Amino acid sequence: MMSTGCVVRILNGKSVSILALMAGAGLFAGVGVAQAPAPFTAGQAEAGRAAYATNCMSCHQANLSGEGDALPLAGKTFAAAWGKRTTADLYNTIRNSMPYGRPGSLDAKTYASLVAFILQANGAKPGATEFSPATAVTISTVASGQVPADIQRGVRPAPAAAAQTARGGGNTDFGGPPPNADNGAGMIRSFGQTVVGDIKNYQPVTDAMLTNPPEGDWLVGRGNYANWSYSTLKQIDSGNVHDLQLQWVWAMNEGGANETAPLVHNGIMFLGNTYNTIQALDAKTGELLWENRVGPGPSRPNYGGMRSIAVWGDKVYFAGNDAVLHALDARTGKTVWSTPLSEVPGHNNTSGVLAVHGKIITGLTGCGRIPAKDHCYISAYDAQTGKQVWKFVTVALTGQPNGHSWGGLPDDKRAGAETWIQGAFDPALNLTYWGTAQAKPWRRDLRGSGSGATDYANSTVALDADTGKLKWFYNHAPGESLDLDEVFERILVDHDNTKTVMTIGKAGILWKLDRNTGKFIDSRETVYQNVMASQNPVTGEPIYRKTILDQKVDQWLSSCPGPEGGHDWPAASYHQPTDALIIPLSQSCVMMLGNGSQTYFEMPGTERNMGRLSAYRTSALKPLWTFQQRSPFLTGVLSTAGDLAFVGDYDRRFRAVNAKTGKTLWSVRLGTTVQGYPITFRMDGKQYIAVTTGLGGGSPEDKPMTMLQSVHRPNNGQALYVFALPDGK
Amino acid sequence: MPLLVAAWAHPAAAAPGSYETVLGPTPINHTTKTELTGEGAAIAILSGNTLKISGAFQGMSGAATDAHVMMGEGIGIPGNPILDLTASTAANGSIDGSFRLTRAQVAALRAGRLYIQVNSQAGPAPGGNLWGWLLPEHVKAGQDEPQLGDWFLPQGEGLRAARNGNKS
Repeated sequence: MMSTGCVVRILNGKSVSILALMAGAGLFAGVGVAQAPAPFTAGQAEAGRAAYATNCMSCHQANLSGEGDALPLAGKTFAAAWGKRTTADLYNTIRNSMPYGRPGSLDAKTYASLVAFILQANGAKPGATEFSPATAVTISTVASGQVPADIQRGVRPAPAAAAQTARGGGNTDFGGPPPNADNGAGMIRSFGQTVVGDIKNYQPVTDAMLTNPPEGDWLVGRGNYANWSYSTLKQIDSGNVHDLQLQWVWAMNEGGANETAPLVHNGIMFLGNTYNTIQALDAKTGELLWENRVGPGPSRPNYGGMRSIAVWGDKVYFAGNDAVLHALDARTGKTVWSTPLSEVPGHNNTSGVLAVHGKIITGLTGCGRIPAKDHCYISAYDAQTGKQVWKFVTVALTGQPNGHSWGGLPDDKRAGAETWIQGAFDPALNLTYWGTAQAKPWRRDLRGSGSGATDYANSTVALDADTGKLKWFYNHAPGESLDLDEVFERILVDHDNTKTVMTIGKAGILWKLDRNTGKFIDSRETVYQNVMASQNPVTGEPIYRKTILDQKVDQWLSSCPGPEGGHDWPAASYHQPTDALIIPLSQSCVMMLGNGSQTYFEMPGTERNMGRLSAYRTSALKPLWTFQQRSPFLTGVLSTAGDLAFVGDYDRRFRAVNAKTGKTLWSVRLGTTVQGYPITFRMDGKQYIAVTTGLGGGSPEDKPMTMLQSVHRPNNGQALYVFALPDGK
Repeated sequence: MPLLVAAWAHPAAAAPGSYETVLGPTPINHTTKTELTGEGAAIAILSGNTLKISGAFQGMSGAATDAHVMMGEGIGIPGNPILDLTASTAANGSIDGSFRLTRAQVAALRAGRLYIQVNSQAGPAPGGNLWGWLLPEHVKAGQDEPQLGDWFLPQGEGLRAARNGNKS
């Protein structure tokens, strides 16, 4: 176990003598007695309050209580984490890491005012001395963690942000452009339809087309209902891919999290942008056919990916980050109907949507607040009217099957189990398969669920597509405690008469289940993991390492992988000709403390490589090939019958590898991080490859930003790139 | 890949009892990432119960002060110093040492529980500046070079072996 001294070192992040810390602890023990005036002025704190409302509040909440990855900035938890540290440490931490996704983008005066306000929000009294970055006062000597009443009631948004909220409409908690997310050109400042389309001879998309997509189209987010991200197109192959050339490029909205998956139907590309913007483009030329900036903007800076959209009939469907489902006319782009998925503030959507038999199925996120006003659910809507058809709550409530798995917690303390990745669908079984995230709070000792499995969190759930009724579920991480989601793509693969569903979560364990019954078939570790110590040979249930089970709030705990995940949202591809699952993997570990503090380190045995791309034969989970590199991969994988697999990375490289060997055959550097889901399509006999660059997102973006200081990339440049072979090749 | 790491990345054919590590920064966050810099590599040869370690490091933001063999609960799980290495007192330098291990220490080495930690002025003990777990010497491919078939994973067959009642 890590020694106490080591805890001290990491808490402080630099050299501090034990004696000094003991002195600090002694001072901290004096909380409650009159405290000295703090080294900031009332004017600074007031300026900091406004800066907080503009830059921080959307994540850390109006009362600084924090939520999810955004840690509390006031109260007991903050005092426990920061009481022994200095005001200079706080300044440096904020300056080096915030605002999220744009560290260092504010001026020194603003960062200083934010420190002043945070100190005030923890009970510090302003004095006559201005705070400066060099001011190093132990925080516990000036701030007790006692939150003033006005701040407990909540900071008010800055007037400009409030006005934008009103303009954006919708859920008041998610209206308008992200506060101060203005980092240059390309930001959306107005909403509504900018270009009305007039697409002639549009062919409605049928159920038959979605079940067996035409070879030249890309009609489902991951290519088909089985989520293969595989195409039978083979004009571009391992012999000619080195001739690929850029055909056209389309700049996309800046801001938000660009993790999009375009669709193509009959030569028309439907493209989801940030700010809940949908565009139709001529897939051959890149000409804009229509654009609807439905809005609002993302609730938080650099947040709010839209990971899939859908087409069915004569409409295009998407779920906004504000948890509103929209149907647009595919010919004109006009809004046909809009239906709120939830009325609960804080709920949002990043999974995107799946069109199945005239229904639009979607997930829900942001269900971590306690008491839980409403739980997360997967729900289906009539594609013609937007009326809800069914709803499946992803938390097992009291009296429901496995409702006992929450250790007796009342229902309003059962939170989490979000669905932030699009599910799969098996037309023959009429089942839709979705992954769920972990229970919240994700630390089991804070959650209060004891050793309970917290079903149906971190599970695969199989639902009747017509009714939403649960057929079976399988919990991949019962009682999860390390922020290791098992929410990602479900890929359907058949082996003779065995129909399987495969998935891989943040722990990096590749799972194979019988998708008719949910029974465990096999599993295999893909990257190093020290989270699970053993596994039930029959059920596959993993058993956590003992020190994880014995986790204490005040102890640092190591986890490999860490929250970046051995696998995350960049989805695997099933290359059918070789029965290979080609998986983007990441290699990093974490030390975490009960209050949410985290520090990251390179995974042992990886030679300092965070990125890994590996292929496994799915029949026996046999390793086929792998390669690793310094930067992680941040796109899904696209594989084709041309024996190719395409993938992009944090360091701006988009490449094609031989799907049989992993050998890189072609690569190109793009404008910024290659992020999203590459696709392929055919127009007038020519095959195209499309991929997006993007910024924003959660751990898969944040952890490399911390650990890859030698890798530089622009903080703008979200775009769509389309490649093809030169004419005549 | 930096020169120093590359030099260690293609070892000669693995000998019985050969271990290696690539050193990287101890845990960092946005605040400490500019302080805890550097990298390195080391090899360790176990002959009988004698362990000889030699390696190098570079690029630390402060001079090395001391270095140790540490023992933790498992691979990637930090612990405490058990043996003292000789280290150059510089930002770039070498480490080495020769030790007679106890039976428990040999078992810990074989289980991947031993790691090297270099402390520096920028990253003093107990947290340190660089660390790397001593793992069996293994084949590695260079950047952009895929490996076919099985590849090195520190835990071997891990859960599969446990599930099947075998030791990995």
